[in-house]
Amino acid sequence: MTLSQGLANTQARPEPVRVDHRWRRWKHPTISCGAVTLFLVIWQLSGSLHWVDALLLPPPSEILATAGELLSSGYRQTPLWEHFAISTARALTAFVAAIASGVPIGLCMGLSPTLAAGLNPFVQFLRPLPKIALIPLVIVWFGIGEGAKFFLIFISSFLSIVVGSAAAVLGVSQARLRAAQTLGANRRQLFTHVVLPNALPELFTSVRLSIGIGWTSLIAAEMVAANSGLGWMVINAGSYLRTDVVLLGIVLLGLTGYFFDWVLVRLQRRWVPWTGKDA
Amino acid sequence: MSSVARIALNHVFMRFDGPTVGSPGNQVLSDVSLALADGEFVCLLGSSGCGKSTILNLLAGFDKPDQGELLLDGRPIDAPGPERGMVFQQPTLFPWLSVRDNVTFGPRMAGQSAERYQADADRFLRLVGLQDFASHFPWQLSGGMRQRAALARAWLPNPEILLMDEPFGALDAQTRLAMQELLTRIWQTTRTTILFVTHDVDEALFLADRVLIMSASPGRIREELQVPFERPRSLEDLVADPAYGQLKRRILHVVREEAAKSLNSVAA
Amino acid sequence: MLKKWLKNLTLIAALAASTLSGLARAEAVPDEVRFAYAGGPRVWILGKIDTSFDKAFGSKVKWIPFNSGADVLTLFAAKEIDIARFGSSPAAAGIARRLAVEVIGVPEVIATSERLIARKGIASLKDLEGKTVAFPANSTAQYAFEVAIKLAKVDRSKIKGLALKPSEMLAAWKRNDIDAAYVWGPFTQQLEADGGKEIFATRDLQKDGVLVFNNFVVRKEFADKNPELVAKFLRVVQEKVDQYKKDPEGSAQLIAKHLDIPIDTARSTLAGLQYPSLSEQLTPAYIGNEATKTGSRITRAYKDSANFLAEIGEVRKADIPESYASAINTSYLQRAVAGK
Repeated sequence: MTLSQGLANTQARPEPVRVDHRWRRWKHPTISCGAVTLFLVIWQLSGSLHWVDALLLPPPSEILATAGELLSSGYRQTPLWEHFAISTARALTAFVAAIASGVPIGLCMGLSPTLAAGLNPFVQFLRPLPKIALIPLVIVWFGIGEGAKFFLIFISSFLSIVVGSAAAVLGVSQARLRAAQTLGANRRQLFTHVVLPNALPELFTSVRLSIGIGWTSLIAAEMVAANSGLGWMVINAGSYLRTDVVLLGIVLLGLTGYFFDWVLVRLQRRWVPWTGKDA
Repeated sequence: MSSVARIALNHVFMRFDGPTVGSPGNQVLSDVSLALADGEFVCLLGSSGCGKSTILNLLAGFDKPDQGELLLDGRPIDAPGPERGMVFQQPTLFPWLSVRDNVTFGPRMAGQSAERYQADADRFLRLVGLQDFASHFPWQLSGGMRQRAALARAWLPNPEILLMDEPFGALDAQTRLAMQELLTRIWQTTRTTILFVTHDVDEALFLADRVLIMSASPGRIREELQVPFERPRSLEDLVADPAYGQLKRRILHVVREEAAKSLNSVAA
Repeated sequence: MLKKWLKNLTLIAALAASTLSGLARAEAVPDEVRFAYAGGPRVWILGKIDTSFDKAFGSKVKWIPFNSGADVLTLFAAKEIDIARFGSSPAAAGIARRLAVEVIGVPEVIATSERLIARKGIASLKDLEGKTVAFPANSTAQYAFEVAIKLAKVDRSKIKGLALKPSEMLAAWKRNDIDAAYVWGPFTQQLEADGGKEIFATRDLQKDGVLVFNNFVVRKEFADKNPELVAKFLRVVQEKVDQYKKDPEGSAQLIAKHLDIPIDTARSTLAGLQYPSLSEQLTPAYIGNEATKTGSRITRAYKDSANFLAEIGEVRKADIPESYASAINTSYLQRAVAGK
């Protein structure tokens, strides 16, 4: 076989061709939509046909009506969008701080076994602790202002990011490091040109997870003497048995968390396109 | 060919510890000595576990021997460096870099300016046939193409010696043949000293000036054979040459003996 | 043939069993009756100390604590409790949400047991403008606070209202996070010990015709099944009120010891409530009887509470019933008074 014939055999892998119809591409999203619709229908029927007490589980129609009320007259005299904005602002501030401090610390822990040994006991103990358990302490330390709320969201995201960043560094393959060494990379270059880029996919995944965890701490944070925010709205409405407002708040909280994650997935696809692909 | 050794191993011993403390390790290399002259293409042949990769790792500077010395141009080797390039069995490209950026990794780490290395990069990309894929990313390439990029990457910094650890072992037979031809073609223009590890006898006979056959554990160089065929070599002609058959027969005999020994030692 | 006969026999047996058990259920006393109580000093605690409820019922009483009225609503919705003693405003909110409960008695009218404690420098409600006031969420204290502000024509938007658990208030007070708190004992006493001063008590609302009170509320399902139990309950409560009135000091001592709170707190809280007797509760000045309950003071007070809560956006206007009389069942009071 000649060289050119041999090379001809090693063509680029073709893009997976969608030989099947458009239907295949839309099959799974359609099933998902169908499942959700079915769920909503059953839920609505449970209310309309009184299978379940509307107090315990308000049907979607009632929640929509409540949404309308809240949109026009707000909740406790504060517009709904304002509650949403306040919660989002609280969360985003804490996320940014958690990423800015957690990633460097995690990277350092991954690089330095000494540092890791020193910090690990605390990180591993605090991480699985339900943040709600910290509330009484947090009130005593930070009072009932925004500081307490910031801290609760921050600490849950921060710990998760530290662990993920350290793991991302530790996970670099020896083969890649060795390849770089035989190409003349010094220690610093090994870090900036191999370890760091190699860690990016896992870093991103860790940030995604951590933001999800931080968002779920929002309710714990807004239990600390808040009088605005989606989490506060859910808790306060609960004390008046306004289960319709509670469910609406939960739906809004869920959708927002879903949105954050969606944004991060898009960013990951854009900035770290090699995630999950081997080389 | 100059007779001064560019690369030399002198009486190298290497032992790997067992998996747990107290369990017996094994003597991987026992009194291994070899030397490569400038521009030589030498194949290291042997079955799995005989220590061929260990020799490469020692030469690359990843490990240190228990006894003996490793020399490059008379100077001891103690750490990895760009003068000893390496191609692994897995391409080990950097997935976050394009093909071009992967290939130019060495000069970029050395701080060279783009004007200096871009011309060389283009040349090598053309040599390995990837000039149209320079902006592609590794996951968009087939296994053979990735290995070609890895070859270009290791070769571009013009290393003193290229260490190749069964680089075509993961490819299918046809691609492997194409890669062997590609390798010799490039080598004939650069005449880099190459130490090539393989377990494929035909591959060794096609590529090498000299073949070193390793014994089973503990590893040592058991036999050394010159490969007399003139270059450029054509696989079709080689196969028809009676001397090829004799040489291959001789090598197979030794290899099979060693293989049987290692099997027996395992069974025992 | 045998199969058919066996099938019929099984059917009859099943029918018999369910009928018998149904009858049995209707007559038998429940294994356990669950009371919801706040942790503070109240007269009915005497019944907890000497187990007179258990004895009267012939079954065990489980006392389940709660932090504020809002929790009671959740407990009722989850069917975790049978009878609760808690505030009128959370009860009004719960009934508006069609909680399956009914009011069976009004044991206490809040006078000085709930008070507004403020820092030095705050002497009146007007001084609260620009300050932060804490209260337990959906409680009689919150209701009293909001009504007091409204009646005094103080600008509510200038006051920062904060819902806090009573246990959180002292820490917030010490940290200077709050300037005042409307709450009940022993928390009021804690704040007074730390430099706080009373500037308002719920009794002060009565001159404007506003009634803030505690009610006994029962889960409808439980009451329908055990009407005589509910009547017995009210009777034992009255016995305890009589016991307290005969010996207030001794009762306060017992309760303080049992709840492990300072004797002063127990004494002042118990003295800070007004206790209408069973017969008094049946008059239109309070609940009224089945005939007069529609126009009684308590029924109107519930409606006022609900309207007020709707004004501040906690209760949906559309949820408020025409009259709260439908949620009040005076038959148990009448049975208790008649001694049945």
